[in-house]
Amino acid sequence: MKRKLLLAVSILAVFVGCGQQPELNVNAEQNKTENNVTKPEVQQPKAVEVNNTKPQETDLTDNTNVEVTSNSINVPQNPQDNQQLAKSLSKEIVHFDFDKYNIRNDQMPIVQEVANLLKDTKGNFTVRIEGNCDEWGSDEYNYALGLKRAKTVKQALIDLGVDANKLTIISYGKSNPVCTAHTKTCWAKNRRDNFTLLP
Amino acid sequence: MRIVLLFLIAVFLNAQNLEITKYVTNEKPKIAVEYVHSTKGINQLLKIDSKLISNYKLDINNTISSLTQPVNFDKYQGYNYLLRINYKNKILTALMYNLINKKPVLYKKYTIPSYKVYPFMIHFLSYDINNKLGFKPVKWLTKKIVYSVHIGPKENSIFIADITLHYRKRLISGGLNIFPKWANNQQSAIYYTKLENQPVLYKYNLFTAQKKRILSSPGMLVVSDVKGDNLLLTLAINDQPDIYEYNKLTKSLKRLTTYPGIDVNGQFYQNGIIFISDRLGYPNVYYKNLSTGSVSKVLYQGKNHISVTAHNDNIVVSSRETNKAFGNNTFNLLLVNKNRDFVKRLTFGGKNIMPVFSKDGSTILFIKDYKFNSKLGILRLDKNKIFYFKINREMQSFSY
Repeated sequence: MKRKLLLAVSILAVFVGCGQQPELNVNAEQNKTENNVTKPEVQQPKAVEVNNTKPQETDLTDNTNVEVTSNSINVPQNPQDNQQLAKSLSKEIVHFDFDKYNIRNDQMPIVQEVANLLKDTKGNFTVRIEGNCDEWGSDEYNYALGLKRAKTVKQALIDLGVDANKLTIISYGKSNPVCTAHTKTCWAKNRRDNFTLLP
Repeated sequence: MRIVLLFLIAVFLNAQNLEITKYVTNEKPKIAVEYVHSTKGINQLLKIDSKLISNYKLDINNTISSLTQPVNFDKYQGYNYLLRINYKNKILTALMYNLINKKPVLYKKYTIPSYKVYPFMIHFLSYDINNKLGFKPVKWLTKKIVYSVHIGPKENSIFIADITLHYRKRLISGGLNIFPKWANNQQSAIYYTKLENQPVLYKYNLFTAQKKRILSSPGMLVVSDVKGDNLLLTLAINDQPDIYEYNKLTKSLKRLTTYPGIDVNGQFYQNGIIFISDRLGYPNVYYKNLSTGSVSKVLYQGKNHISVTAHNDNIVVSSRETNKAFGNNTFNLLLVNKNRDFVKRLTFGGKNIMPVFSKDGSTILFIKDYKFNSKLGILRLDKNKIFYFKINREMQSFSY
């Protein structure tokens, strides 16, 4: 009887010891990482503070907050998300008719696409809408025309539900051509709005 | 019979007088040039200046041993003046004789700090020659210009030059530096816009090379005109391009236009401003009286006036005369006299933009774009002549 008891206690001690070992390992790893502080080490606490402040306080008790937490994973504080947004925006270009700043019907889907991109992206960011012109005309008038092109798209985005505080505009007149050949195709390409995610 | 004879004699004499007058007005004074030491650039520029001024003709003749060697007056039959020059060690000495009465009329020395600025020296000599011949002063010839050229995407540099572009020096580079504007009549400083995260207006001192930040605005910021302590700006404070008046002493900003379209290119004019606006659906020239606030259309001739300059009753616009979205468009300069209500075409084809009057109103500078290059056009209004000086880049804007 005593032997059985001793055996049970020893077996129990073994399990307890095994259970403790992972803790020891975790601690050891933690000690290791603490000893080898690197830049990512330093950044992680900041990210944890910003990303998980709310979840740490609310996640354990409230399922709805858990959902918010899951959404917060998409918050583009991660540089990769910023890059993805910047890449997506760089592909969107709105083109304009000669000497006009109203949005053509065939360009509205592009404006809608940009609106969807911006509305689906959470967090703080600013997008600059850059108005551009072809080579024709005096540059002061062209700068104003480029600005009107940027402004009409900005207003359209706001009308589609984008937060106005996330948008800013600028005009480059004819100083930022994407194409410098003296052809009609080139001129049409240069009459445009670009979108740039600001750092 | 006696009366008839007297009448015929009077007519004959008057006819001769008329012929003489006509001969004199068609003949320009001719100047022969001799030089002790000179350069190809100096001789060439003397000739260019004589063409630009268009009041006298100038022929470069031969070398001489000294300025004071005896003049061979017989050699220069048909000439009115003899100009002798000696250029050495950055000093140009000029001596000019009247070949009719054989007396010297000009003796002057011009000194320059470096060889590169010789064009200004020649312009001042030409200015003096023109004055000695009794013609209207050509102060415009001695003025400097500043201009912005396109280097690459979002990259423009600002240069300073003489009016013939023989002297050029880069002042500001790095980034998008645009719309330079002389800050004063002495031409000692310029305003310019730099596009950073948003447009910023700087003032740059040519002598100290120091730049000072003046103000910034979202969207757009251009200095269109300067008058004393007041600047006319095109600003887009609420994403809307409008014309503002800025006082650099009080730093006050006053909005002058409120139309929700495009209002640009404001110029101080009489009791108000003239500017370009598309308030009727196409760009045209308007005048606003700053006392009464009333706005009126200035020109009823033509459409699509994209830039304007004015001097007294003369207004010159750059007018787009074609509407090709996919072809070469024509921009011509039109002169309109407010009182006499006539329109005169000044250029005939190509892309002629951004006209600027000289202070005396006798000359108009403008940009002529040709493919990927620009030319600085000098239009002599009273001589009905245009001269071009080419730069191998695209000129964005200039100030004169």
